Amino acid sequence: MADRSEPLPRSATYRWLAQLLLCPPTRPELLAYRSDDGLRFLAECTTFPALKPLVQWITDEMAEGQDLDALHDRIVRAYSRIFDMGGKHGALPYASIYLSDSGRLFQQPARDMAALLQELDMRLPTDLKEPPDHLAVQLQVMAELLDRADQGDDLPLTPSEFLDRYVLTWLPQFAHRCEQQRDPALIAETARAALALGQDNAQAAQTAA
Amino acid sequence: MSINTSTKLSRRSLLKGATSLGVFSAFAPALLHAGAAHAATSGEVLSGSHWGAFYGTVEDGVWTKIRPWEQDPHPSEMLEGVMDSVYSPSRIKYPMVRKAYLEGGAGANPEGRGNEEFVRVSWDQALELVTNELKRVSDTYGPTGVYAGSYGWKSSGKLHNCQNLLRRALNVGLEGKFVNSSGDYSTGASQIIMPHVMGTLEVYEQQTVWPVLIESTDVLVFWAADPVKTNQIGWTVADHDTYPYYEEFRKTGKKVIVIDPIRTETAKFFDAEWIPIRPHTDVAMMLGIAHELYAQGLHDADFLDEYTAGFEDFLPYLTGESDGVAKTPEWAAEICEVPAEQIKELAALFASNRTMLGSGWSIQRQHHGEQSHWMLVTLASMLGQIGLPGGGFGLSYHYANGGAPSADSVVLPGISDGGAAVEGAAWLTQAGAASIPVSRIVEMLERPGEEFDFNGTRTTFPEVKMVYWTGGNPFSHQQDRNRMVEAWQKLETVVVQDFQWTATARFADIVLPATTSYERNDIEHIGDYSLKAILGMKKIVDPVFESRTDFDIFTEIATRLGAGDAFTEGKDEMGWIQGFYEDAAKQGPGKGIDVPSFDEFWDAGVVVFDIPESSKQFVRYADYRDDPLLEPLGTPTGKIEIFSRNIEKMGYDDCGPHPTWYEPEERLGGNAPYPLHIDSAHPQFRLHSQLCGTVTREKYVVGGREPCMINTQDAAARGIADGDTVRVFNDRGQVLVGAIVSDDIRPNVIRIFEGGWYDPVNGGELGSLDAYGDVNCLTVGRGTSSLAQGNCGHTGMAEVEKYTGELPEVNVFNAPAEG
Repeated sequence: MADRSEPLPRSATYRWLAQLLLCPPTRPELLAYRSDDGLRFLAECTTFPALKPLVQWITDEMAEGQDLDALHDRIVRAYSRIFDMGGKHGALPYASIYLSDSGRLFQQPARDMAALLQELDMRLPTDLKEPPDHLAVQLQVMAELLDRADQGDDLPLTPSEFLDRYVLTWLPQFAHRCEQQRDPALIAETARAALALGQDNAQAAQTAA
Repeated sequence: MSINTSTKLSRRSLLKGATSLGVFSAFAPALLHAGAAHAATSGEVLSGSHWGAFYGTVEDGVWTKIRPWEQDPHPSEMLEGVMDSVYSPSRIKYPMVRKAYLEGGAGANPEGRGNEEFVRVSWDQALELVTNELKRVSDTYGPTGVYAGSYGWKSSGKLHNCQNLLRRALNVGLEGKFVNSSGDYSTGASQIIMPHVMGTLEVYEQQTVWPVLIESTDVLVFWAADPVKTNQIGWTVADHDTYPYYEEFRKTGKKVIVIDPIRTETAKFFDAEWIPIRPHTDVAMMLGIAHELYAQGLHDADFLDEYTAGFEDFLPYLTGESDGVAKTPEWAAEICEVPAEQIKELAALFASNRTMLGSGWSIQRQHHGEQSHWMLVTLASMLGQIGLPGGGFGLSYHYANGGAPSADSVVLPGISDGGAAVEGAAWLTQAGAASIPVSRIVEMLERPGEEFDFNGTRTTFPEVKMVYWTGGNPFSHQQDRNRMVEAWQKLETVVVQDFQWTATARFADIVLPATTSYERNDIEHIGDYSLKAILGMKKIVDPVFESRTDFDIFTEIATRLGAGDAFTEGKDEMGWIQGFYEDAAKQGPGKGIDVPSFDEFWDAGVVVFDIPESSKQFVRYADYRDDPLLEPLGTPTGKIEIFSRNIEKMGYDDCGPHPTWYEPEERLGGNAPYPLHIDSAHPQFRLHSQLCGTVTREKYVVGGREPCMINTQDAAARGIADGDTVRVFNDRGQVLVGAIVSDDIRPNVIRIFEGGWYDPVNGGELGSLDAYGDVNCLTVGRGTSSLAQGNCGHTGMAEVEKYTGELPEVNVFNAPAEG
């Protein structure tokens, strides 16, 4: 069991969602949710109301007795169908698709994210062949901004400004599209969780202001 | 780029998020690395495409603008789509494998192709699957188990010629054990008949140049040719050099006649006399004119005697002496629906003026298509103007800017496929263990082991179990789609290598993501006929997602087949490009052309060659006319063969020894199972199916679907209004398209451009409604005749009705924003 006394930081929740959106969990990664660490991680996630439905879905699907291989198979197929193919069975996870007039890839949102990464002195790993406006990258940036805000770093924009300007401009559309997809619901629940988490953050920032 | 140090993220702080989580970091890992990436490139890059040379503006590593090369006299409107193709949502991002195939291996659930899900795999896994399957099929089924006759327009470039690279990999890695294809879809009939008649392919030859037409031609005929539309594209990099000449010719006010069921772009441009002939009846109309020439003594007997062979054997057919049917204008009028008086007037007009008969290729992409150009040559021979300035015939005025004067240029070689070189078109290769006429692939799959005729030979269809397709989209250009879908199910393995999810990719088992030609370096000519420049096709942006260049992919495959060194010959991308250039440069001294060094060329991006005055006076067949003995044609008689003894010996009942009117399987006014003839012309804003998945589609779609032009009377009779979604159907298939009601098309004919992406509502289901408008769901899938076995893409009848059902979504372009 993890030896942790601090509550799960909010940044970790964004990184978790980013990981779920970047690629399908491997079979060992799925199995890890049945471990003590996994169960504790999920339990800590439930302290964030936005994540409860996703945690519940994982908990139900990962319960002992469920066919893990079958679940993994369904998830892998769903990722390819929804993220890699597009069309009526798809919901491409790139801001450019939703924010550009042409609905094309690598449009201004991708350039804006690339510029922001430069400004933050961060970069994508070389083996990640994805545009910087992938939702997973945006959620990772959000996590970094949260961490650095906690440290009192001087930031070019606050986490909530980042959410408002870069993420919530298209995440609702993406989440809506994900909800229209077929089983399994992991992607839809993850997208919904990301939206709810972002909206909670934005609302909290607004209240604080 | 300057970095605001106050915002820099330290390694310590970056890692904090992960390390402080302890074991939880496995569930929520940090992805980003500290340190900014190298600043992405910005600037302008000169490159090229089938649609012309252009500059691509790159900002922060992203291609953002495109503008034409300043020496392009008539830039294509399609350039915007060229840029768009890189970032289309239809890009194939990763290697993918059809789920059942991945789980069950070769032959697993072939009925699932076109419908079943794909699963992402690593490049290593995908390449292992491909090479293992190439070896398995070859070992199990012998040298003809793998089909690599992959055909299509691919992309411009001498190195990343994916089809040659495919065959090269199999030649060196599989010892040539594959089935190849011969010919092409564009000119399948003509490129076989013309060598018998003229001694050359003719369809890919330089024409009497436009300056000569402007000077000498009195009557310019475009018979099923629409050069204003189709010369936007080129096989290499389009030069568009003919367009200024069109303007000049128009200014002369000379007569232009367009014979076509449709008032074409060319007809409108020249304000031409439009003769709305019935489709498929061109041979009959030509015979009618020929009969009138003969009956009135207007034919050039001296020319026929000196320069042609066999007119006397053709004459009894023309007059009806041999079959009891005189091919009079009245006889022709009944068939082609052009009035007999008009046919007679044309005969007199042609004979009394310097007349150029320019023909397109659509009239040979039909049942008995061999006869069309053979009869056109016969007609031109009777007029006796072949080899005279501005007279005769031309079969390439509409293609790749035929008739643009040629430069004094050196000629680039390209990557070889390892097969024996063939004179003529680059794709007429002889590599492989067996070969089929390219458009007969469905019959090959349906009837392995069955014999078929082809140009005097009798061959057996091989039993193919695996298809590897790259740089083409057969689920667009092959006729009779539903029959093809069924035949495709006989394959155990289908590999498709492309940069976007074409219909063909959707019907594959293994899909490999290639780059576009704008994500790699290459080299190419500008101008197929003019050869006016050599262009460095420089990479504009880095490959997106996990796409790899064709050269890289096939290097990997050849290496895994144990022949990597033989494939690359020790050269990388730039090594090959420099080698091609330097081989071409060696021709310079002999031709008296000053060619800059490779480094100078690559830095400049382009080298432009002079077009001498002598090129502006080129007259096709002038040499032959001047001295037929010293400059004989490549035919058995050395003359134009109106009667071919070689073809006579073949004894085909569907292609006799002289031009003949044969009733096609279907036609308006003949055997017509449905009331409307389908004209499947080349599209205005695509190259066949290329760019269909880009923004250019917005220029022409009607209600989001492929447009269907229908005559006003026909539309009214069916209660169809402009903009309506209509269902076009026959016994072979059904498509949804958007109606354009117009008088620019003759009654009883509809036009749906070829190249619309096949989008079955239920993928893989035979007869499924096509939601977007692939016209080849409706066309006839048979060979033109035993001689050429070309395709019959313009043969087919159909009915149209207003569609009142629930409209299915168009999904083939994979753009969620449109959903």
